[in-house]
Amino acid sequence: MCLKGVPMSNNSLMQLGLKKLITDFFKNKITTNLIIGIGILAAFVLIGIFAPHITPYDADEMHYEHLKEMPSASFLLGTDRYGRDVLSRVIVGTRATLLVASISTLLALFLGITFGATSAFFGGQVDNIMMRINDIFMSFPTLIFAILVIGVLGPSMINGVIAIGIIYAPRVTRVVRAQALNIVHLEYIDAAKVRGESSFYIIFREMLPNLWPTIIVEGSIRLGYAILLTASLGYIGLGPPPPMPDWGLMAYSERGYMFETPWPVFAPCIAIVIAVIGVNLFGEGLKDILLAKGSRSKEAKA
Amino acid sequence: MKDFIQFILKRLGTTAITLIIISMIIFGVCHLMPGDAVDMMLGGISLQSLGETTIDELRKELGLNLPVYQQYYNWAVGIFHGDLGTSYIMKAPIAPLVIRRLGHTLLLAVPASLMMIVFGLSLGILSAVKEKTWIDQGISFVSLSMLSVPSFLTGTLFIYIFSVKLGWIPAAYNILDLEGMSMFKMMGAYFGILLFPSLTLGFESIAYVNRQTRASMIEELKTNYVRTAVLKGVHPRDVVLHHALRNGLLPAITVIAFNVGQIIAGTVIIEVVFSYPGIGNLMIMAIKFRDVPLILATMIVISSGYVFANLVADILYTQLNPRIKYS
Repeated sequence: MCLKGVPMSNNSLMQLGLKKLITDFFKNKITTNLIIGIGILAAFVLIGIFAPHITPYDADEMHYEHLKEMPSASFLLGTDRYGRDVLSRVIVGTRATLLVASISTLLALFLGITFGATSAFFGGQVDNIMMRINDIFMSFPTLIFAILVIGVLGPSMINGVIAIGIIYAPRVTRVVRAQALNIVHLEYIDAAKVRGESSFYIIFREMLPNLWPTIIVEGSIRLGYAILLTASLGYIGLGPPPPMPDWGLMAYSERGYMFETPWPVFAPCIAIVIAVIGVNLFGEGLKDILLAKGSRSKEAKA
Repeated sequence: MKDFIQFILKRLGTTAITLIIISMIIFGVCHLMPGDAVDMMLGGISLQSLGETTIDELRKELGLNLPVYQQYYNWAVGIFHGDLGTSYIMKAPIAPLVIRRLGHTLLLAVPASLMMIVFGLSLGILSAVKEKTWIDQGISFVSLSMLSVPSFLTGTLFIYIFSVKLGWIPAAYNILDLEGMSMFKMMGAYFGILLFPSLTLGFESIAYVNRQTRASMIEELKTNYVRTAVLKGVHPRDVVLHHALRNGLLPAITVIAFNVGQIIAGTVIIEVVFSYPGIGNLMIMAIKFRDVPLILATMIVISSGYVFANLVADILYTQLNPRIKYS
């Protein structure tokens, strides 16, 4: 890169990131993984946004003459025990799962960035105490903690977001702190300290831009886990309450009727798997670009 | 050796503190639950017919009039005396119930851990030896997809194939069938049937162990000492199993111990999928009926299992790796 030896401001670094993405695209660094991942994610986001407009039937409409039917021309994925169209329910269910998973990931990232960067910046005793607390939260099994929080506060989308966000925050904190420790000794941080900038300014305006690649990759990993956890919580009855179609709950409540038709159980499961694979491919692709050996570390040292 | 004992004691100390704080968090969160035990127990009975004094007496009897920290203290002391309290819905002491259910859960978790170790390691070694062949790529693809599949789907698929389609296993486990039998008889009777729940339970962990073993074995197979052994004419099988595996196993063992914790916590979902009467199902039931003492007991037991598995992971890692200094 042309920036060797030139002191970088935040803006130039952000621009560099953007420019790099564009040049990488032409240099064939964008892998098929990334393209497929983006494609799958974009499809899910679009389905989520336009859900009520693209379903063949109303998701809650019960067709009493068509109970537990196998897929047919009029019901592409069949119907469930109340005669509701499975395809429509899977489409509308996209909303609940993706909303809970993505917002909780954002919450985890926000908390993780704040605690991780702060802990690394202050170092010493502050860092020590914060990491001890972090370790305790990490030693709590994720699923048990989610069940505890949602079970006590009551199942709803907001409580799901809170539970999953709090669970993943310590894991993000650890990753962000590790990366922040690498840059906290660099000259531009010292320069900012000498200039008399506030800690807040240094953490969020000087350190954060250099942490983004790590954070984005970590976020994509967390999103995959969050989708699986959201679905699992729905399965054990701790997702959004019933009238709302939820992938996990659909798989649970229809499983007693697998003798007649397995589709109401497997259709939402397939949707979950495709979404998770999409997120994982997206994450792998981003990792290849953002954290590739040689490109990122050299720039950070420059 | 002295260093080692000191290290173990220190780790045991931090584990104890961690467990105490975890129990405080669980207790504290449960305390946020709207309505207390008396409201729960009375349920349908109208409060007027009982009168305020009776209710107050009941509260006093259960110790619910005390401040939170006092309640926590009484509860924690009870645990050390083997008393986990009394379930509101079952109207019975919790400890024997939890122990019996834990037995059922271990009946799943132990085979699941064994499967994780056997399949995870052997598949990992196989794909490292056959690196970049179709065997390796096949195993990698399968293990990657195993990680993208929620465990309830794996379980449901097994039920669909082996219960609905082939009729080999029952779709649900009758709790009474299991509870009457002695542990030994149960193991014999259910060997075939327990296979699928425990396989489901170990599924994700097999993938993790497999990936870690593959990565570390590939690294070891490239080292000079392995090449020397090969050039000396040592049988390829011995090179892999005796020379490379000894070092390649090290990172895998940590992953294995950590995943034992994941398996313990993961039983919750699997038991719901297979309607299996283990401690996880008990916990879900406790949550649904808002039976606080039962929630506390089941959560503490599962979390302790998880925390101890992590402790073992930590100790094994430092014990097996001479390059790590105790700290």
